[in-house]
This record gives sequence, structure tokens and C-alpha cells, in this order.
Amino acid sequence: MNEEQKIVDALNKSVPTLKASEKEDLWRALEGRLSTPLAPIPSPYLSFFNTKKHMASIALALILMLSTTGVVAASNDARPGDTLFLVDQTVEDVRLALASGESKTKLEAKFAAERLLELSSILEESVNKSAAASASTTSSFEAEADVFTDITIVKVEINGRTTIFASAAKTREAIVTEINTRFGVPAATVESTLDFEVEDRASRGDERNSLTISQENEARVNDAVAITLGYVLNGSFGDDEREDLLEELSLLIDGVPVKLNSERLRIQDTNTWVEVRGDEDDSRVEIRDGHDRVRITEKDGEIRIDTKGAWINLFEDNNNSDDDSDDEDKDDNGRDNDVSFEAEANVFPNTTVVEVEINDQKTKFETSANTRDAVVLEIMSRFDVTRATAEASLDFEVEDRDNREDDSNDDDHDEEEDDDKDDDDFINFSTDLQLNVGDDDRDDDDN
Amino acid sequence: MTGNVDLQTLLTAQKTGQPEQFRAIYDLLVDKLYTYVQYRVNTREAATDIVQDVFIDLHSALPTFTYTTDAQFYSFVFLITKRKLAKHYNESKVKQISETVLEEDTIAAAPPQTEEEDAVKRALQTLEPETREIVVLHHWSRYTFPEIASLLDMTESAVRVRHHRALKTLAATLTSL
Repeated sequence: MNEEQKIVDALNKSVPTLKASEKEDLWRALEGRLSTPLAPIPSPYLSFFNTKKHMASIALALILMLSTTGVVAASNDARPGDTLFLVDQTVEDVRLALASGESKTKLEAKFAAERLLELSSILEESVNKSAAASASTTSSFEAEADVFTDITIVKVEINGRTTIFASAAKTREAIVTEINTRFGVPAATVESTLDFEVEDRASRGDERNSLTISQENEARVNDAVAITLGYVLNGSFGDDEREDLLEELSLLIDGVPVKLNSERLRIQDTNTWVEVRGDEDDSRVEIRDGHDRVRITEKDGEIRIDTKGAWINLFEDNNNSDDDSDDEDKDDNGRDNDVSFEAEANVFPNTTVVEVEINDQKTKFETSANTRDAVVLEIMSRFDVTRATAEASLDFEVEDRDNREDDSNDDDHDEEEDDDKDDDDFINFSTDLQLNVGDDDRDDDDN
Repeated sequence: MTGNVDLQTLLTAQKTGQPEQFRAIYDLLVDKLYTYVQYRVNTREAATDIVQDVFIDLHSALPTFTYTTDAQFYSFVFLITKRKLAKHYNESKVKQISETVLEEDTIAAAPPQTEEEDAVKRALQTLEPETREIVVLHHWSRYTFPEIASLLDMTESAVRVRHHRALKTLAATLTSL
């Protein structure tokens, strides 16, 4: 027997063991403890997490660690409407909770700016990008056809992607066939979902040139706007910053045909409030902070922006800023309500027809004045407006034909006709005398 | 030793909620655990207490345990054991007994033993702690080399080499004693 074998034998002999009776005793003691329900003991691999008092710091450490990696990092790219956006917001809340004073303000500004960026990317994605719809699946399908006297406009929504196209088809059958051939959607599906409407008028420019946005995207954009507004208004940063952000926001949503739900959203704290309101035809976002106000209204495709107080110069395309001082005076004199002012003069060889609209109240009169200056003077004398206002808002046109009956007397015209005319060149005027010359939705097909 | 028991079957049965199966697991593990724990602590009472605690924890943890290999299961148990030992040392420290003293006392305070046992244990003390662990786990707790490799997170060949050297050292020590 070699040395090693001896050692092994010696080792085997010296094993500390329990006698059978001791094992039995140990088991009985154990059994008694096993039968009593115990709090679950976690896996030893997770023993690190065993004590609750450490949990908070561990959780915090994890969040900080993860903020450079993984889900949290991914969530940073999340935008309103994304699943991870909640994570993003939570992380931001944690970061805000940890910050104080100046750094908190900085963070708030940063987050508000982030929301704006996200909103812009949502807009970029959601609006007017639905040209090519895929034909394969038809799990969600909606179709609408408006037959105008001049053209048929068909809106088709497949799986959230909207396509708007013009068609020569005038009948329901023809449109069903056309959708069927264009998108491969079974005729029966089209037939059952098609919303077919015949209009007894010509299409309007904004109907033809409308930006397309799907319902889903629309809801998303609305949410994103509301969320972004919340960030912009609730941040503790300075007014300058807030103005910049508001301006950015306004520029972003300017021209986007977002129709808000008929619900009305109002966020208010003391003398600051935001109101988002909308229905089928017009929607409005109004932000008021004391005497400062921005109001963005959208009506029949027109976006109108009125500003007041400190935000009066928010929009650089507001010309006539020279008038501001006069107007402020006027404002102080008690005319606190907005006044929108529009004027149009058509000079015919036989007469001049002037149409003035103040606060949606239209007034029409004939005058013998046939020069721009004379018309301005006439307007000034009839209505209480400054020369600059009349001058700036007057649309002066000389026609080389005689005044027709419907030119001078078209109050009976249906409203849409009037609206179309307004589309041609609308000029808004508020007491603040912020003049917005808008021609985005210009309807140049209707003359 | 119940070396032939199919560990996987036992664990599966245990998982499906047959408490009597835990007795089989106990029988399988109790010697392995006791010998190792006994070697690590200074009294039989402490050793049996710790072994009991290990089984309690194991019993609670088993429902969440997923079996892959025997070695993996032993590692799992070994980890619980180590944790219990660490807890024991911590508590002992509170009683003003330093861990070093405790480790040195381990063998001396063991129950009555023959001269040969005493010699073997003293010889064991001359080994490096990790090498000693290998010898104890192999000859006393009856773990195979692959199992020890898994328990100590070493390669199997490293375990074998160290074990071989340890036996040589022990032989030399015992001869010189």
C-alpha cells in the first residue's frame, strides 16, 4: 500500500459523521420547521436583494446604471404615444426629483425641448406621408368619397395609412371599382364601408390640397401637442425660455390640419391657463398667462394666430409691428375683445363694391371711390379703424367689367362661397393690431 | 450514501408538491453537508444548526430551482451552505470570537477523536485553504471531481492536480509527524 492510499484511508476513517440516530433527530427537528409555513426564501443567487432596507438604494443605482443602457436608454427615444414613453417620463421625473434649483430648471427646459423635438418627428412621420399604401392586408379599412361638381375626392384609409386621390368617377359603383383596382381591396369590403356623398358644389382648394393625416396619427399628434404644452407651461424656467418654446411649438403646428376632438382640454393654474378646444370646423389652442396670450385658431383650414401682451412679438411674420404702440393704447381704452378686420374692394367701371368684415360681421357697401386711397379713407370714415389698419388689410382689385348682380348683392350666397372668397387672401386683425397675412390655404381655383 | 438516487427525479417530485420526497433529498445530502460544515465550524451543535438552516432554505428555494445537472444542484446547495456559514461567522464575531481564531480552533475543538484522526486533521491544517477544501469535499463529503470543480468554480483538471499534490503533501506531513 503506497503512501497516498494510506492517506486516503486515514482521511476516510476520520470523516466527521452523524450517527443514524442523530440524523433522525436532525430530520425530526427539521420536519417540524418545514411544516410551519415560512416566508419564501429567495434564491441564494439573489441574496444581494435580500434586505429591504437596501432595496431603495439598489433600485436607484439600477436606474442610474440603466440610464446609460438598455430599456431606459431606449425609452429616451420614445415619443408620446410610444409604450416606452411612460418609462421615459418616469426617468425624467426621477431626475427632476433629484435635481433642485437651477439644475432643475435646466432639466425642465431640456425636457420641454425634447418634447418639441419628439413632436416634430411625430408630425414629420404622421402628416402627408401616406402616398403609397400597401395593398396586402385589409385589417382596417375605411373609404370616403365626396363627389363634387367638378371632381371626386376619395379618401382611403388602410391600416392607419390614408391616401387621398382625385377621381373622375361619379357613381358609387365606379368608385368601388376604382378603389378595388387601386388597392386590391375586395369590392364587397369597399361596398360595405364606403361613405359616399354627393355635394352640389365645386370642391374647394383646401379640400383638394388638404394635408392627409390618419385618425390614429391625428390622435397621436393631438396627444403630443397636449403633452408638449404641459411641459412648456409647467416648467419653472423663465418667460424668455417659455416664449421661445411656445414660438417653436406654434411654428411646428402651424399648417398642420389637426382637428381636435370635440372635447375641450383646459389646464389651469392661477392666472395661467391653456385651453385646447375643437370640433369639426374649427379648433383653437389658447394659452394665457396673465395679460399675455397666444391664440391659435384653425377654421376651415386657415390657421390664425393672435398674440397679445408680452407675447406680441412671438411670431416674426407679424408685420406692422410699428403699430403696436398705438394699438396698445387702444387696448387700454377698453376694447379688450379681439377684433378681426378684413376689407376687400372691387372697383368696377360703374361702381366700387367694398366688403368689410369686422368680427365675422360682414358689411357691404358701394361707393364712388375708385382709387385705393379713396377707398381707405371711405373705410376709415365708416368704421372706427386707423389708416394703417385699413391700408394693410385692404384687398384692392380693379375689374375691367361691369358690376354684376351677384357681385354687389351676394349676401344670399351660401356660406361656403363666402368662405372661399375669404380664403383668397385673408388678413386678420386683432385689437392688438397683430396683422397676419395668411395665404397658406389660398384657394386660387375658385375665381 | 445514496449515490444511486436519481436526483432529477427527486427534485421533480419535490417540485410537484410531494413533501415526503424532501426526506429523500435530506438523506442524500445530510452527510455531505454535515461533514463539510463540521469541518468549517467548531462545535457539533453549530454544525447541526447550520445544516438544519441549510435544509430549511433549500426547501423554500426548491420550487424556484430548475435542475440541469447534479453538479449544478450541488453548487446551488453549496451556495446556501456558504451563506449560512458566513452568517454564522458574522454572529460569532458579534460574540467577540474572531474568524481566524475560530478557523484555527476548528479542528482542536472537534469531538473526541482517535490519534490517527487527530494526526490527519493536523496534517490538513498545513494545506492551503483551497486545497484543504478540495480534500474535504472529495474524501469527506464524497463529491466527484467534476462536482467539486463546479462547487469551487475551477476546472476539473485544476481540481485533480491540486488534489494529487495535496495527497503528496499530506503523506509527507503524516510521515514526519
